[in-house]
Amino acid sequence: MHRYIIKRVLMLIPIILGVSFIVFFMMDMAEGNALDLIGLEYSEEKLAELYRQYGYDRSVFYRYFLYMKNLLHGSLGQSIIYKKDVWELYMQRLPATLKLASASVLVAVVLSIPLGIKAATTHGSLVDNTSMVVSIVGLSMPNYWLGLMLAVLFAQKLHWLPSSGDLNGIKSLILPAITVGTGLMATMTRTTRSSMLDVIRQDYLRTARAKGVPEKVVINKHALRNALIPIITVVGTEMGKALGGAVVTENVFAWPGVGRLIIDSVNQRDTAVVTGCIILTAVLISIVQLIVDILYAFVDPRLRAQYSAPRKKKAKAAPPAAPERRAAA
Amino acid sequence: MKKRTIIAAALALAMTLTACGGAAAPAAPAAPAAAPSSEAAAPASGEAAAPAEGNYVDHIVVAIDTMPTNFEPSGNDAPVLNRLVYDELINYDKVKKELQPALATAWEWVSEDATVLHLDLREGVTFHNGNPFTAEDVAYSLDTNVNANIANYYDHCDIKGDYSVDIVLKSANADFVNLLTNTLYAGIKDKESCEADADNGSAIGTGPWKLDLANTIPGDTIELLVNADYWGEVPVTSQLTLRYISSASSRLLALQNKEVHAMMAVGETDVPAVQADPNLEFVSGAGVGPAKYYYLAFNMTNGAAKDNLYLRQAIARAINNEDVILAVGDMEAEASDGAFWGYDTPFRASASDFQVDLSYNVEEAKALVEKAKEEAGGTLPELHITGNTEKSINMNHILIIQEACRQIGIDVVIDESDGAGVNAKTKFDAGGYDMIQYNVPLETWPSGVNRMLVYSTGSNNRALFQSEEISAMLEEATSTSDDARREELYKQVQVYVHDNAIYVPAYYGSRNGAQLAGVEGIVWSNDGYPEFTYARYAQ
Repeated sequence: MHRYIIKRVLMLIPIILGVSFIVFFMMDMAEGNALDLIGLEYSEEKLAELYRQYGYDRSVFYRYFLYMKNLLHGSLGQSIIYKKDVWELYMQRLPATLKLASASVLVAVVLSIPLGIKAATTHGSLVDNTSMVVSIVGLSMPNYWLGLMLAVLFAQKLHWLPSSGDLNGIKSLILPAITVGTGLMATMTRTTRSSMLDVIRQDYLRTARAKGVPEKVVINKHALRNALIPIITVVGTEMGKALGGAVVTENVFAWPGVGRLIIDSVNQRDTAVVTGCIILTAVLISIVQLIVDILYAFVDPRLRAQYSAPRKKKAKAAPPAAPERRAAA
Repeated sequence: MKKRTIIAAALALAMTLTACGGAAAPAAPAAPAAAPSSEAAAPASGEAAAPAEGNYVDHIVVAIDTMPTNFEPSGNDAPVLNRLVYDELINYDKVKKELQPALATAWEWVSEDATVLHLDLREGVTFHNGNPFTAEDVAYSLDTNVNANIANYYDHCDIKGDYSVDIVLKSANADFVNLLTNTLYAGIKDKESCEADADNGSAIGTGPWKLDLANTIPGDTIELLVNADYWGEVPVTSQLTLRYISSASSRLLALQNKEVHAMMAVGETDVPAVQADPNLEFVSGAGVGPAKYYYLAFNMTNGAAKDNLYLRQAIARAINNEDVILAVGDMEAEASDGAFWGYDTPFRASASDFQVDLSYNVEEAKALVEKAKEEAGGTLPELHITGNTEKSINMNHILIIQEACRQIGIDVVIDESDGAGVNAKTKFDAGGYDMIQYNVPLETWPSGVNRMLVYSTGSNNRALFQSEEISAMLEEATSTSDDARREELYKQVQVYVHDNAIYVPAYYGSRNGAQLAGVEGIVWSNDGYPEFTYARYAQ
């Protein structure tokens, strides 16, 4: 298991290199730069000084080299727009993103897993069909529209909940979490249903029932546990997506998360912020995926055994048979 | 298993609830109104200076549409924030339209050629950190100013005493006094704190509000606390929050739900809803101060129309500015009369000064197109127009231009872009467009136009217009104190730019906002930068 974790951590190196390269060069391909944006009214001398300071008087390769050099020294660079360290900016936004991501996933998990199980166990029934229709509707509704509709109903009309920001504790979280959670819930419900349908017809469940095990136990203990791997995979993937920032939802609800910071920084061509935030998000997603992989081991004893098993030595090629023996044969 | 499930569920719930524990709600408890702490002259800001009586809420929240990014007054392009945190040396009263004392109590040119300006400074003023304000701070603030308007003219300060200073210019600038009225150009910082803390030292000013950096989230929320030691009238509200909400619909929802007390920039389609809502008040800066000016400019350096005057004039005559105003939905906008000066500012040419009629007339435009074709050797090229098309107000204007051109037989292709893209395109060595739709907030002083649009290195010279003759005229107009000569020069420049259809003015936009009924003290100006200093809301 330790070896596996170390291997996954080492895989972060090519991920960081790849992500930083792609983002940095894509930002450079976009028209304009942050200095042109803030320096519109700067004196020529000051603008020239800033161009030199941030390497904009040299090629993009030189700037990328500088960026990677700083990264190796543990610095994600400085924002041209905010004049702050990228790490500081990211850490200021991360709590809001974590809050929204975990609440959305929680909403989705709490609603989707029971619904998916019920749909699978009552396959073909009204409940099953209704849950599928609901999940398709959930998948089809754009977050932008759903968010605005929820805000119009619960903030503008009923005045029950705030429509923006993160200033009112749990009340502020409800509408953005439902908005993001609805999309996640639809995916998770469908995955839970299909995964349960695969498992539910297995022989060992029929045996359990024949032995008189109560149906509740058959479903919740034996079936669900074996259906959990795909569900955990989807939950992990969706959590990763949510950690990257629910960009649209964050904009609708003026949520002070990482996604909004990235989008604003793309518009402002603040390359260091965009690159830094995406690198950190990639690391975070990798960590979530690692946790998901570890969870597999807890859920499925066969995988646990695979992780724990000593690495098999490569079988050596059999020595060619002695000609004498072959001849003898 | 069951026990484990319950524990896991409880842990998950606990973690989420812990994560959900947020900051306190913005709605603050009632607080008695603070009495003005000083008998010193209050900053003149029209309605805002009126004495407040009664009980007001302690905390005002405003939804803003553009986020101040850093805390360097000359380099943040954030007049809304600057007016709260920093003081100007001289105040320009938008309502009375006159200069008034601020940190400088008196000023005079001590040289006849407008190169040395003497200032007497206000005594007893302190910065937010308690440091006294002196001439050293004025010199430091001007020395470290990065804005081209100051840096191009400012040379050094001669400190005559703690509260007396001479500002020495490199070359004469009769408008320099006006420049000192804008915190963006001359916001005064505390020298000691700037030298001690390069990152946040410049966040300390002398203004009525002090930045609460500990609770500020860059790019999202700016928290301000009242400066109880302010030398002028102390605001009655004790906390002010500026919340950046980029979507106009979301800003309006927040206002309707009373999460904020006021909002900047109502979306054009939302205006009727705001006006119909008895709980809200639609406010506009129309008629107050210089206007934000929307125009079409031709690329005069490397555009297809740069050598074809008839083509430019034809397009100018094909556009109906009333249609543009309808399309952008700015019902309080004022159609341009062809001049490109801010209205209600000195030295502004009028329609009668122009020698060429470029008013809307499609038939005349078609006749000009024929002449343009002859000039071009038979056929006209397809023209490319660009602008910050992310904003619907700009895109709608561009669509009207495209349609107007189509009517007179000119094909126009729209190259979509955003703010950064437009800035990249409008460099003299870049180009890549024939026409551009853009806007600029015009200043109160005449040389503001010099900088903006037609000076050869003007930061807002989107026409990429270069003329040594015009630049020399503008230089002379800036440096002379002879008002008659200035008027003559500025008029000549405006007539030249109009008659040659370099810029085709469209309309003076009315920047608007909305506030809860009962909110008082906000000064909504037409340049898009309202003053929230004395915002208050009765309980």
